[in-house]
Amino acid sequence: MREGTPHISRGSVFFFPYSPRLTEVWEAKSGTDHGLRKGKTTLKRDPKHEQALEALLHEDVADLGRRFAITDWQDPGYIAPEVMATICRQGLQPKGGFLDRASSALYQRLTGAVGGYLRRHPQWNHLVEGSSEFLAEMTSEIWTKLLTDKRGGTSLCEVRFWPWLEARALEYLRMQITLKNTQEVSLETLPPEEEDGEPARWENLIAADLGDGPEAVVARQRQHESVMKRLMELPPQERQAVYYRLEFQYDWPTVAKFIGCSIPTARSYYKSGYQKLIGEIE
Amino acid sequence: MTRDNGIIDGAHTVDIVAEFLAAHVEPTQEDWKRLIEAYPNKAGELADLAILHRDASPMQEEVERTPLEEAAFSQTVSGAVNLVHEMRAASLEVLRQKVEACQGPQVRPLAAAMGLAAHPQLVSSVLAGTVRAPHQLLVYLEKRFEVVAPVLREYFQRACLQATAPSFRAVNEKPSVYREPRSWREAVLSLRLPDEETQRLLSMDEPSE
Repeated sequence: MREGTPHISRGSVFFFPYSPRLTEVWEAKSGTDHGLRKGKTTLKRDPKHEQALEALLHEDVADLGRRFAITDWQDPGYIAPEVMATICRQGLQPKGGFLDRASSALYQRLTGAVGGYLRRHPQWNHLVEGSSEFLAEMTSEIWTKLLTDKRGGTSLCEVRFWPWLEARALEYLRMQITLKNTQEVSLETLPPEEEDGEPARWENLIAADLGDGPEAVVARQRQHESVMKRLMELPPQERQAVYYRLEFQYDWPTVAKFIGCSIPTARSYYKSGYQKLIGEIE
Repeated sequence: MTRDNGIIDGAHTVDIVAEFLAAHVEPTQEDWKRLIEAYPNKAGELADLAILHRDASPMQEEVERTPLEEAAFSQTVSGAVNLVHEMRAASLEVLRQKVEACQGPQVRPLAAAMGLAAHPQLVSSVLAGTVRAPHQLLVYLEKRFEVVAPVLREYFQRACLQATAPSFRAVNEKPSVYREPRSWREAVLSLRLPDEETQRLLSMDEPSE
């Protein structure tokens, strides 16, 4: 269960404040499909958030500063980031200082959340490199998206803030990695085709002979991070070919379909990418 | 953005992933696989995001912040708050244009749409901010102008304060300038309509069932 959204739980009917029909479809299909819903729908804010927003608009501005700063979702004074996102997107200013306090507080929470996310995932350290510039740029970019996403309508950040933020953070990282590793793949340099036999598995990439002790666990974790880092540094087609084969065990026609190439070319991408990953381990 | 057979047509990849993460707090690789199969034309982007998300713990509120995060915040918070105010000014301008487009002779179609075809002057007064909008009208105007009720109320309040004092000669009552908007009830009662019509109009201030 994510912090800040105590009323959400896996499989809960109240999981997603969509229309009742869609909630029924969701319930019926939970756990059996990809979780996508059928039929037309529009995003609607949680009624509890709407009530909280109305109450906030009549509160004393002096006390709001204290409340906006509360980050413990279990505190009765906690204001959900969805509510603050609505305030910032709609530019609500019932009294002087209200919008400034709300914007500053939400921005601070966003910066902390993004920083914490990067901190807890060292596989992205090579991007961040301990730089406040990277974090500042990333947070600014996401903040702009928060304000401009679906202008005139309701953004998902006003309905489910944390998944929205996480998706934006992942997309930003993806773009940065793409920019950093842009390189063309020449098919002439690829090794010969015809990769037969069962596809390799992720486990094969990590050494099995490290033993079982705590040091082995750390060593495996570092190897795993190294493989993930190297995977993201591969050219997109090689990366996708390796991922589809190793992770999803797709057959060659499916791999070729998703990459948008012929089967022999997909095999070549896979072989090249796999050999580069193996080289990272050795 | 419409959904058809479970597929979000024309949606950006980020939106798809955001909704996916909302539905799956800790998605498995099988979950990601199904998502990619549902959007084959976005397979490459989704695969990349799945790789980045692999072994990631969910995004969450951070109670403590590092000096790095405080530095990043200090560098950019002014710009962030300024941007909010810029967006607000732009939004209010858009709202002003939408409201003005419904005033004057154009108020009649709007009044008819709100069930007030016989009382366009009431709608004009609401749009000018001199009469408080009843609940049901506010709900209608929210959808019509695509803004939330607090923004509308704030806009009408501002319009009332900025309105110029009309020059008129009252016939049945003393001329007066309203410093605050009149209540809907007061405005309706001042029309001295038949009881049935008065009750119908007054009921517009109650939430609809």
